[in-house]
Amino acid sequence: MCPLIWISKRLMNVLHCGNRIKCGVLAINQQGVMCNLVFVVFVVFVVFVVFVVFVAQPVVYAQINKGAQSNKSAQSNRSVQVNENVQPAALSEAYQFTQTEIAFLNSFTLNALPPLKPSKTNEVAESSVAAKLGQQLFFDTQLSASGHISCASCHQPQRYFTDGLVTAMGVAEGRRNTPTLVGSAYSHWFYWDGRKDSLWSQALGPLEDVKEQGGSRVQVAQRLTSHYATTYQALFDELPDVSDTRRFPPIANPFGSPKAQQLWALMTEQDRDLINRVFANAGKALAAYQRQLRPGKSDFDRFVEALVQESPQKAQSLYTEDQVLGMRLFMGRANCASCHNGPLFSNFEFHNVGVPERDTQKVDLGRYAGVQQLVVDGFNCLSSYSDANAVDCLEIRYLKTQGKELVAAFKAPSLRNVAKTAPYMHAGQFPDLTAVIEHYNKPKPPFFDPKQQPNRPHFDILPLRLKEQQKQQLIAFLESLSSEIDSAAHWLAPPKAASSKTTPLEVKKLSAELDILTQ
Amino acid sequence: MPKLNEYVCGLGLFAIFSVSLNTEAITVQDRASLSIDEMSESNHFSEMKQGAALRQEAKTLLTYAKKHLLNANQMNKTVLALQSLNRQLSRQINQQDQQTQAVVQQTLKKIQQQLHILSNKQRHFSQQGSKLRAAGERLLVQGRHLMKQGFVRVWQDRITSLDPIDSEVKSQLVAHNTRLRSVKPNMPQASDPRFNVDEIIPSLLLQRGDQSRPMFLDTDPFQQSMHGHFFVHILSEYRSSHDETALNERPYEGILSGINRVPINEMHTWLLLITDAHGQKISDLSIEVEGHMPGHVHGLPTAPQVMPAIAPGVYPVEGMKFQMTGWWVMSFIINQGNIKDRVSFNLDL
Repeated sequence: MCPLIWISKRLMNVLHCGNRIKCGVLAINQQGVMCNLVFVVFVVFVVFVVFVVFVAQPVVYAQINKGAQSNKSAQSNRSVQVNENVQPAALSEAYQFTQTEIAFLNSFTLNALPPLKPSKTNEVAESSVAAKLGQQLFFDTQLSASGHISCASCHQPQRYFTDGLVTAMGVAEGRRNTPTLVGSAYSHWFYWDGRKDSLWSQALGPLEDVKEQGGSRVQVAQRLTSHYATTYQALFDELPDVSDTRRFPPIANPFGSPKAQQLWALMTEQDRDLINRVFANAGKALAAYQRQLRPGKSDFDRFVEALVQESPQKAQSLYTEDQVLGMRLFMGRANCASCHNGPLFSNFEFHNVGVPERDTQKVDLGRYAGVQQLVVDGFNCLSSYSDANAVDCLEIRYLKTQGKELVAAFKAPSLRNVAKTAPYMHAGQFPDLTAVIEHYNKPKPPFFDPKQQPNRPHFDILPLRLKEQQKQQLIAFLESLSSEIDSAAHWLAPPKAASSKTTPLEVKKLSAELDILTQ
Repeated sequence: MPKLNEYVCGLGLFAIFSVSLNTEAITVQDRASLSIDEMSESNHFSEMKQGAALRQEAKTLLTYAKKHLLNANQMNKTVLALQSLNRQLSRQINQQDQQTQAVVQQTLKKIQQQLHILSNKQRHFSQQGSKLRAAGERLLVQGRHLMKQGFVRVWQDRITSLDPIDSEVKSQLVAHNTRLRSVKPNMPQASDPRFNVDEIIPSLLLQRGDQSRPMFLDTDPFQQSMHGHFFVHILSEYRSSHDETALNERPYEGILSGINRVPINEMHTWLLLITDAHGQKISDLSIEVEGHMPGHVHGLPTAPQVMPAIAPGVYPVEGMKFQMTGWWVMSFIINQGNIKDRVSFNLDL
């Protein structure tokens, strides 16, 4: 029996037509004709919908994907295309920008990045001697407690000065993700919570942190004034003798173990000041080195450059349509550019974007705690180890110490080379860019525990409601921000050993270690 | 029918009240238009004074407008009540005996008459109210324009721009088509649409998301305080090298356009130029700063401070910083002895 009869009979009942119908949707009497017409229209509609959903759409999608793939292959062969200048294709609408738009985009390129200003807090910031010393310190494992960890253990040059780990792994596992150092000299805040206000002061943190290098400032000072004595003296016009291990116990450290703290407290104030000064100078040399690490030109910069030079054909050959559309989303509807602004794609300020709390038993208060630490920090801009006048310490003079928005807020990182620096967020919560975009697309409000947090954290983002394709475009754009590091190659590798001479102090230390081992 | 009597009595009161209200409002309106005519031969102080007076009168007009509109509202309620009474009586009429029916009929007629009168009155009041409100708002605008005019003359040597404060990025974008614009200082104009950045920047790229500013935002950097005690101008001290040359080329006594801009992510200083409502520069104020982004839930990234006056009526605001583009609201709480007033500025960075 014709299955249509059953359906149509049902339909007829609904339409109060009675049972005058036969297979083949032909009616017998007038009333039937009317009803059947309705029925025919209904069937045609159903067939159309089925066709669109199951047949037409996959075909269209397949074609779109094909197009994207061919675009990608065009991208990989772009140098060939540019050289041969084969038949300029018609300029797609996505690539058309007004002068104003181009000027706006140009404000995000490295062309808009001013040269680094001299550091007011660090007099040797511009010195190449200091940078070289800093480089040696950066790769020097002897500044750590174990003798195996250097700055470069986590800030690995080949990984764009990150470590690829969820959270940093020094002497022990830390609670935050290792950020890149490239371009960091442009920031005015350091660490994810901004608890340091200068690059040199930041560099001192990991040296003494029990989870990072676990060393002590005395140890650093002793190594600096013995192993690097000549350079140190040339640079800072002084060479204090801190080699007496009774007067200056190597493990003495105001933030170390109770023993280390006790030893530090037992030192005279002058001695502590002496050590602090040498320690601060180590940081200043490290900062001078890190100032050499600048991001290079990315595809994005080259694309906007081509737009500025008014060669849209060249621009089109440099950037896929997905990347252009992703860029438009980034700058416009997705609102990314409101915080990730400027040539380094960051305002280096603090926001809470509702990233999941890593440890709900011990929440990370972010900027709220960072501000409190900064104010009492012994090496901040106002300290006696800073070379700046107090008047010039604007950031700390006008520091925001109150405000709901400080709780669990973290610094917006630079997005240059973001594709190379996974995992993401302050504690490496997201393994890849897809997860990051997914979070921004449907963010959950921040974790709140009134017992641990002074107030409910503010929440700085709204759901983006992007479609799948748009998310892909955004990622394609973010990938176009990758570049080489714009620094001479010799900065990106461990320096050649300056001197292999073992100092008396090291002999002493080695023998002490041997003693411990033999016991 | 005690209910009915109440209504009728109320109506009479309304009528008397409305007559008195009308005459008052009309005199205020007349006075206001008179003072606009008088201002032609005025110096900047009296300009500001007249502006302040206009504002005062505008406030009075607006108060009357509010009263009228409230009246109209009240009457509307009465009308509705009468209508329901009317319906009730008409429904009940068949259930009554003949004598009562006649009485009810009569009452119904009365109610309908009253209804007619009342709804006419109500229409009149609401019309009058909205007219007064429009007039009041017009006066407010005129008052502010006048005050601004006088203010600009008072501060001729300090003011560098009449345009809203702009962000460095956005102003760079229009730099190629904003040249020096000589404007007679006594002729403050509504922002020239050619310089409206939002029109220049096409929506394609900068199509803003949900956290954007409203369509019509008063970004005038000249504002009167909430209670009318002070008139304040905000002026950014930030200058790029391009701005410096432009400032040196300052032609005649004209006022530069566009040199009132702020950098993004950079600490800078503002100046507050403050006079009282009569154009006198005041130097003994203590001022607090507040800033926030209405589309977000956060304030400024720094805690700026208003310094003591460096010249009569000139207060530096140090430690200003904006970390994001978008709609900002900057408020200054001004204290002078017992007077506490507040002035707010919208910024579209």
